[in-house]
Amino acid sequence: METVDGDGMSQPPTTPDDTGDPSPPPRPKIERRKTYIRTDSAPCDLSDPTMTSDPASLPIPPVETLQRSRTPPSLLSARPSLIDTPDTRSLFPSSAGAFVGSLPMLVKDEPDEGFEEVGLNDEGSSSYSTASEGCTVDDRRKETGEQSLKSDTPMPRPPPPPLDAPSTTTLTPLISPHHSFLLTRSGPFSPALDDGLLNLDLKRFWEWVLCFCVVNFDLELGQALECVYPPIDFTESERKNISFSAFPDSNSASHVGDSTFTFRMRAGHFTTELYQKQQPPPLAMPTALSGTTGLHPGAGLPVDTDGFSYGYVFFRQQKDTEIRRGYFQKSLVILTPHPWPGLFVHLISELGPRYMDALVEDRQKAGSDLSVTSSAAKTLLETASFSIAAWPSPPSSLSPEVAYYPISLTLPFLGEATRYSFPPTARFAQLFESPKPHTTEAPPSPDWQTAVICTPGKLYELFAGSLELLWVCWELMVVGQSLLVVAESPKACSEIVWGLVELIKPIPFGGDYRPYFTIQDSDFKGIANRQRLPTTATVIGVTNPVFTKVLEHWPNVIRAARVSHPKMSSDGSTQGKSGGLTPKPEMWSPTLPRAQSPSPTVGRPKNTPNNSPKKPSILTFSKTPKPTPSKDIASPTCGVSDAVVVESITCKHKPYLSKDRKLIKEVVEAAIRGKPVHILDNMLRRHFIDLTERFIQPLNRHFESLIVGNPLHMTLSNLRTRPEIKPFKQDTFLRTVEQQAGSTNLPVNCKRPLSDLYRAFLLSVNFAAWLQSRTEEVYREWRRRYLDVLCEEDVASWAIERLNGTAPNRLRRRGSTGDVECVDLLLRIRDEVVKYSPYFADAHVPQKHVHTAQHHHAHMDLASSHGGWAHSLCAAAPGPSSPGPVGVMGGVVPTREQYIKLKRQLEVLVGVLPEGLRGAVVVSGRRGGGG
Amino acid sequence: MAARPSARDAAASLNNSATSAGGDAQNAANLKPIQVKLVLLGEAAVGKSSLVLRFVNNEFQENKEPTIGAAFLTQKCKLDDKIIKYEIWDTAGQERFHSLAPMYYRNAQAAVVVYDITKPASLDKAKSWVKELQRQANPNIVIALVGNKLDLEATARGVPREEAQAYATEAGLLFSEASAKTGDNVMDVFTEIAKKIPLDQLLASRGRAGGAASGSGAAAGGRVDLNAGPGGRNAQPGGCAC
Repeated sequence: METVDGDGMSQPPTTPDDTGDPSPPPRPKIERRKTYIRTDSAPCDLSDPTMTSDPASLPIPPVETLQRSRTPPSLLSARPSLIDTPDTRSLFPSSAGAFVGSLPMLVKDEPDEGFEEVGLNDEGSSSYSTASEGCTVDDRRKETGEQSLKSDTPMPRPPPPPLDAPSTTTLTPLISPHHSFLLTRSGPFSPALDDGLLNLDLKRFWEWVLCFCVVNFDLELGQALECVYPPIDFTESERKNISFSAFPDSNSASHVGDSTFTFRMRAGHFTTELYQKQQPPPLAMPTALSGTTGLHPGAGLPVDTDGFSYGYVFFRQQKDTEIRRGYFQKSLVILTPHPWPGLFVHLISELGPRYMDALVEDRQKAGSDLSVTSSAAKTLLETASFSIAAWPSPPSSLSPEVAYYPISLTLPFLGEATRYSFPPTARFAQLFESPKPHTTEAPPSPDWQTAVICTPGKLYELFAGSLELLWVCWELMVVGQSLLVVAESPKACSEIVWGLVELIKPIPFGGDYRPYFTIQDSDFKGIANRQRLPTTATVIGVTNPVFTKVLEHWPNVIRAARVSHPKMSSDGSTQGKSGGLTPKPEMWSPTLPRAQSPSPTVGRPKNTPNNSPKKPSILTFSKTPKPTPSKDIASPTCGVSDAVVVESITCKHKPYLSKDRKLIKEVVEAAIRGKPVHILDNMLRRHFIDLTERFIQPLNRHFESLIVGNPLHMTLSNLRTRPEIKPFKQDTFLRTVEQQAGSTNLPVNCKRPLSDLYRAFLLSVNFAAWLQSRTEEVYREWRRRYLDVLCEEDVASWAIERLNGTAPNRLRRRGSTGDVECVDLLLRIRDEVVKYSPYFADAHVPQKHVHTAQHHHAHMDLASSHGGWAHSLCAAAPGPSSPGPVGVMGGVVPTREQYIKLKRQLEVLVGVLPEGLRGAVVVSGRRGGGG
Repeated sequence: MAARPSARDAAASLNNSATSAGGDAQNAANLKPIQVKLVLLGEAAVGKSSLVLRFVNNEFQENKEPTIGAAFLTQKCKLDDKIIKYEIWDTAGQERFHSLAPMYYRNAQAAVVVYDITKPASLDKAKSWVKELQRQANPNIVIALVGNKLDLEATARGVPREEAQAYATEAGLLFSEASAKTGDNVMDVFTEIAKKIPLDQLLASRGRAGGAASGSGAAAGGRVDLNAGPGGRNAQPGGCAC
């Protein structure tokens, strides 16, 4: 079937960041008659600790691949491997971790310490993601070496980068030229503002949001990052990415007015430190400020991250006579580690307009006097930050509470308390109606309020005129093909890219996706290589026509078009039955000439890649847009759709499955009857959830057969932190599928052998991502059970049985095995207590509970009197400064209650142990700590 | 200042669901909490947050930190046979936050405008808030003027009760003097507001939206019983000292 660069096994393919290499190994070119593109990123060494955020936890079951050991892409390279290139770095040599003038006033006293700290910390802390890295281990090492080298040499304090030096013509007086990061201490209101930043509970704030950014389009400088609140130590490439991603990059005339959209960019070192390595960020905060962050050494934020930052943008372009060229062009961005467009687009569309109004208002107040700081705008950001910092923690897979249903939280923001519905896991597909709101944090507000869905699947809204394309898109996404989404506006392309990612859930999309990608992005070279396809499945949304040239060789192009007028569908079947209902023409804002987007024709020569003569026929699926129903119910998600729909797909994919024509008909009829859009979205979404679930059902079954043992059988005598999972043998699996061929379980018919679809899936990054998330889920299950056993079982009785030799059967010999077992348990509990102590610095064991445990055994009176032993035991352990990162694998953090119970168990156990043994443990613990 | 009403709400609604399941339709309608958006306004340091804290948690903090932006809290109360859920937006008093106030009083059914009985200037500020509310807020908004720090009455009163009372009557406001520190009259303020709000109207309008209203029901722990109300000296909110 496919041929890959033949050498194969030993040498990992070069990743795009090795651009120093003049002759990169040939990428798999577009293959002929093949329906998928190989996505062979390199195998990663699973045992390499740098590859994982939790070194202790990563033995993912090996995958026995189909025919080559290097395919499919290794689990850990499941996610993208697009890295800023060396030239980017050399352009901005300070980007490895310098303080770019952040917090100038506050930091002033101790800038150099900050530098050194970064340098030292830099070991292994390349600013790239860990588990989501697609580059090879060797590359990483090179990378790391390079970086630490760089940081070992004394770094000059970088001059203020040109980007952030606003010209005096900037309309907002928010910033003083060299203090662009700084909102504070720049004006008459500064004392109060300082209080504001000082009082902000940064730890809680960061759990939700990294920062707000204001990007101005400056007449002299172009996009300029004007202000970051709270101040963040961004690298130059991050600043650049934020700045350019926050603005439309083409056809600016068509973007008059307000617009919201999203982007996704590789997280820089600050973000990585904060979220992924679970370490306090290298931001040199003054003591006063860092005191309030609540970040203790080693205490991370239990936040799920994928190594990317998500930007949610509000962009305003309006006429403004006060500005030299007569236009106000500015963006407000929420930057966060969370892929929850429903939530954050909602927030930014609340905050953005107010912020822009406030800026203008401030200017009017201040007149030409720039020394008067803008108060209203600043105050607004501050207020928004405080609302966010007062929210309960976001749902996280690191929490020991398991949720199988969407999680509902009511979050007050700027005068409105809104209920949001969060997916319990990243690959959970949310419907617009949560079936039974199962809540862990807060119940739905008693007078029921439609929840805003955090990961909406607006399938109807995006494909209204071309429903049958959904099945092609589903296949392309499932088998992990790269896709180029071309639209007129960032809003349209970003929504479509999100829609595609949602389409295949609960399969997690394992590739890279960029809802809105610009030519200025630091990953541009990696992604938009004229010679080859990206090394991993990549879905990008673009507006700049340049991409259609540069990415001519990409086989799959989705085009979106604004529907200028409702046309009856050509087949007439939909209209005929509708009866009297006519669509409302005014829904389609007739704004742009259709010329912007090519009219749907078969085999558009202009846009098809014609550099490869061997190409199979180009199929263009397209459909004349059909009318959508009146949108009388505003979509409860990302605001109102601009009626930009997917118009066509150019691809050379030969479909495996047929479409569900019955469903299409039902949806269209429902639309004509005027059903609310979210109902139509759900009709489609249910079908695709069903399709996906049935598709992965055999994989799930196979995977479950690989797990050895059952966590429910775990006891104190039989403790296991992690499950044993046998290797996933792809050929065995495929044989099963082939045997069962014919008895397909899918809700649609197959046009080609189903095993081929599975084979393509197994080769895709999605399989790796799926296997990884399944493995993580199993790990977490075991980890939860482990914590449960440690917390809940009667350790005293258990230990006494061991010590007295009264343990059943196998533990007869007093003194040897019993002691060892007890000490092992003691150390296990101690490790948990020590590891998570930074999270629960204020959690004390109520003495009372220790006493209540006492009546079980006479021994127990030791417990209270020897509480000191437990303490010294912990003190002897490797310090809490190195609790290890909280990775997703087995990274379940105990709850506060569990933590208190663990401490209590520790005391109880210490009380039971004979004194000699205790001493030995302390000593051995200390030794262990040294090593 | 952090508003984390979740735990309490959870408990309350758990208790409720059982009750409401048994109730007949009429009852169920009445027992559905009526959401009331209430905003606190007034000069800085007059004790807005302290009043809320007394009302919601029945506690008092000396030297409470200034509110930044706004704080959000909820409290469920029982009045006669109705359940009211106050959604309280406690705003910051500093002038620089003034421009944000409209988004908090927008759609609010009630406003508590607070002044400090020891500071005459704070009454002036209160009056300007009242004026703004009457001009810009929901026309049916119920406004209560509250003179706080009644505990300092003996030593430091600066605003005669009669003066404020007269103003309130003239402007058509509810009026009360209270002390967040001792709890005097705090409950009464919220009771009087609840009585004055056209609850039935609200209920009717909510009824349409909330067909699927989940558990809501009889009085449960964590809820204030306003019926104990006017006489309820020193604000001992029934079982809401959580």
